[in-house]
Amino acid sequence: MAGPVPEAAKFQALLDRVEKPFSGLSKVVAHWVEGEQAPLVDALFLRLEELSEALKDGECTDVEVYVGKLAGLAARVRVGEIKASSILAATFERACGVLGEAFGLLPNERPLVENLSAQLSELSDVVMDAREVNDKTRLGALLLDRGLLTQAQLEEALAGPPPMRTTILKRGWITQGQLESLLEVQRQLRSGPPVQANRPGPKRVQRSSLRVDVGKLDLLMDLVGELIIAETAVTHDTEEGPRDLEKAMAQLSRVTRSLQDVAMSLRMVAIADTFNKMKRLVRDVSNKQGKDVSLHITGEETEVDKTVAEIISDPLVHLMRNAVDHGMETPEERLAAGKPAKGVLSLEARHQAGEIWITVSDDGKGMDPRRILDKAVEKGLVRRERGEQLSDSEIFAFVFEPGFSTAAAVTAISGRGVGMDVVKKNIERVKGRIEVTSVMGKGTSFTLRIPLTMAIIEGMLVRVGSSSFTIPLLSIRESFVTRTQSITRLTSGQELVRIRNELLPVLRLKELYGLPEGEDAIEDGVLVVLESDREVVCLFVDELVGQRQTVVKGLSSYLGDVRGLSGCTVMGDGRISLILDVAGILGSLAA
Amino acid sequence: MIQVDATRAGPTEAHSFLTFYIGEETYGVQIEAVREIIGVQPVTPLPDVPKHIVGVINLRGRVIPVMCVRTRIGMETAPTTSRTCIVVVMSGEDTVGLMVDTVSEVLDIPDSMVDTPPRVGLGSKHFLKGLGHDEDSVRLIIDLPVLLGQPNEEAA
Repeated sequence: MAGPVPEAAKFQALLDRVEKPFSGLSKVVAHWVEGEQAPLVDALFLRLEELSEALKDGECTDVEVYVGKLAGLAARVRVGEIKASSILAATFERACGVLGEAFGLLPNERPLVENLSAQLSELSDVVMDAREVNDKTRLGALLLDRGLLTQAQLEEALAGPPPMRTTILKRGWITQGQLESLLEVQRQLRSGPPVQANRPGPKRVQRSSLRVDVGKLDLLMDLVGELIIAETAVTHDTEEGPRDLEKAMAQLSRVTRSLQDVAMSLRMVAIADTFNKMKRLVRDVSNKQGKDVSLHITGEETEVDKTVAEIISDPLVHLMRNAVDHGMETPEERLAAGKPAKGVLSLEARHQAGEIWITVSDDGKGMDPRRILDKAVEKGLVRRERGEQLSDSEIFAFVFEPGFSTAAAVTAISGRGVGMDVVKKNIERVKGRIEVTSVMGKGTSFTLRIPLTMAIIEGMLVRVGSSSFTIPLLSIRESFVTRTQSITRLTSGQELVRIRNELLPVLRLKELYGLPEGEDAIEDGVLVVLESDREVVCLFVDELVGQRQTVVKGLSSYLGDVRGLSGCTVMGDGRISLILDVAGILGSLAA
Repeated sequence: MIQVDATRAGPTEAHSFLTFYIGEETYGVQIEAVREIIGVQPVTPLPDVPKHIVGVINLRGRVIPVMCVRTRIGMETAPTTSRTCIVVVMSGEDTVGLMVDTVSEVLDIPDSMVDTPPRVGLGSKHFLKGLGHDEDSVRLIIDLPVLLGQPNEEAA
């Protein structure tokens, strides 16, 4: 080929090469961390070999050296020189993180593993900890090798408090200078040629990308093919007359609709990736805190829009950390409180009432409303007399105030009094809400309720006059037609309808939104029973049009929140249908 | 539909305005803010929004709010005609459609011909940034962020 290959293309090619071995490696390491043992070491070694093969000539010397070191380490584990301990597993997990970050840069630039030297020295520390027997590079072996120490002296030193070098120095068996030169020798033996550290890294370019199932892409291509055929049918083959044209148009619109569906589904990702990140986080934090926590994840297959998955990631990290750090007690405290020593932290995602609900709950010590109230009064957020009348859930809402923290001790992990307000702000950015429930001694639960911006829900299309509205199907309990006689009117003007011994309020959509048209007589319309948070209401509309797969779009950010609406959707004919915020409507009625 | 080329940049560009009529008066908005001009479309009204927000329209799959400039500046509403247009503008992050009586032309107004609006006697016209004039006419130049404002603040 004439001329140099453009950098970007080269890196893209490299990325394609490393992708498979790297994901293989990540999987093996994940299994290892999860607790599997024996057959993994071989697989680990093989994947690392593949990876370093893929990296050859890729001009990513830093990364290549790093992978080489890892492969070396794996080889030593394989021959039994080093024990496959859980510390080692954690090191490999971290190494995968470093590599993942490096490969993430690939489409744009040559990655430099910024903290590579720190990572490498961590690797050698792990090797030390692994207490391998025949390593010629251990300090002790080197000392013996050079005749600086006798076997007896070495054993004595090893028996003393670690590290052994202080003992040797204290006894005056070797000088500081000798030790330093030895450590230098050891470093060289272990790390190969010195790594260039602190090279100034080029500026990172943020580019957003998304993994898409190839099946979806194939479908997309098929549909584009069909679209072109249908388009040809409409533009050229219409000599046969209007009937043929009609058929061709129908085909065209069918294809278009499917195309829209597929294009939308491309943006959807399972929340599993976001959730899986939490596994390591919980493990790290609970180890650091000496707490025994098991993480239960449910609903990881729930699909959310990519942007939603990104935005909830940080708040979720914060909530999980808090839960382990402040929510969970130590095993001793738990036993004393009559609970099993191992705490349970659960993370759950589901679609509910046209929203995505993500719940983080722990079975820890719970929050004390009195303590939170005291703190709120102290911070001047509320007056004491007023505070005494607040419900628990209103009191818990104070933890989202800026600068509010009840943690008695500020730990390295959380409790600096910042955070919860940031969590709330992030969630509010996507028009979500946070709900807190907590029972002293039983645990705390945070629920993030995020509207499905851009997400797809099952909706029921209803009509009032010439306007159409979409009601999330999940909020609909049933619908029925009734006669005027079954309606009771209170003196306040509120209408009630009896349904199976239950008296439910009737809400006319026409009146709620001040619509110019629509039926007034109860016989001429349909009552739809809506339910949310145990509140129930009957919504009166002209007609149920039918069930629709609904692509939810947010109303413009310019408008902000519009009462009673959670978004809108574009219907097949290009008109807009507003999506009712059932929870909001019921909430405002109850208030 | 007229597509306005926003990429064409030049020293005179900063002083180009798209002018339109509201009643008898000519208004101008900076051409950089204008994305496109479309005919009147079926508007979906929204409940509980200020009167000058007519509703939302579907612009090739994007849902954008439409403001009636007449109502916003305190004039009587007029029936839509075949000449009524929606000028789609961007201000900051927001894309908003402005419903105007008639779009006129794109006009270069040199700085020397633009006066700052008088501080008194303007009534509700505090959304004006300047008055561009030539021999026989005056064009009211709109301060877009002020005109758009935050719709819900005015609702309160």
